[in-house]
Amino acid sequence: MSPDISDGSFVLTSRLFRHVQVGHIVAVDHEVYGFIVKRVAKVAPDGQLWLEGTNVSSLTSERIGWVSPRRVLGKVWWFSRYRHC
Amino acid sequence: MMHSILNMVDKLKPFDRVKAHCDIPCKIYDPNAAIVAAMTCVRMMDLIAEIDKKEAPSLQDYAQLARLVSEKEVACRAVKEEVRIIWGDYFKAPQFAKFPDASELVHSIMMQASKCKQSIQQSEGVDLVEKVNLFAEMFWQTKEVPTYRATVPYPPALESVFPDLKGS
Repeated sequence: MSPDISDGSFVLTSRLFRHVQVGHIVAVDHEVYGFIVKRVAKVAPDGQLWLEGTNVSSLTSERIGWVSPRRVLGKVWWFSRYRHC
Repeated sequence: MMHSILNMVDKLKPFDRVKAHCDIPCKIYDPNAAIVAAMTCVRMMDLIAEIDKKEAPSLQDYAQLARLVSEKEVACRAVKEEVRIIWGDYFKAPQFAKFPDASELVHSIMMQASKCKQSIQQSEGVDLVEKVNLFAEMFWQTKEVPTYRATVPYPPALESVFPDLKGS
């Protein structure tokens, strides 16, 4: 997720949200990749999420696939800008 | 500040880890590819200059010119890509702490590579090589690897930074 979230950053997540919207950054428990943090690119009518990384060499959205909203661990509401410290 | 506090808490009671960059973390980084690409850019400029010296360029020369310009574009893009990957994937807090100007240098490389795409002036290419050399020195210093400079034994015969790996 660099340059937005660089490796070693802390991300604080919250389960207190009504809907995940496009543009939100979420932590999900992916069935293949485990705990990952990605940005929401699309939300299907049934709530399934299409995620994307912000780095050009990120895992592609196609490889991540549609993610069930049940797998969302939380919405990121704060992260530390580690590399600027 | 907040990061330091969380860091302390993390040491006492580790948080869950989430991965953000999910490509294969191969850890293979070497700025030499960027240097070679920058050298290629200069070489293309030199070859373009040779065509410029011809009084009556032939169709073959024009065809060659098109190839050289195209390859110069590719080389400049390669410089950007190689440097961006090292900056984006390898450089993290410890490296930025050691070299606070790293991002500024990387940005100046991006700008210079763009300039080289627009220009056929050899001096612009030489500047690009030098900036990438500085970046290479910085990179190797983050790994505590000493470096030396030597003139490459092929055109454009400019100085390149090499890691001195014999002692490590």
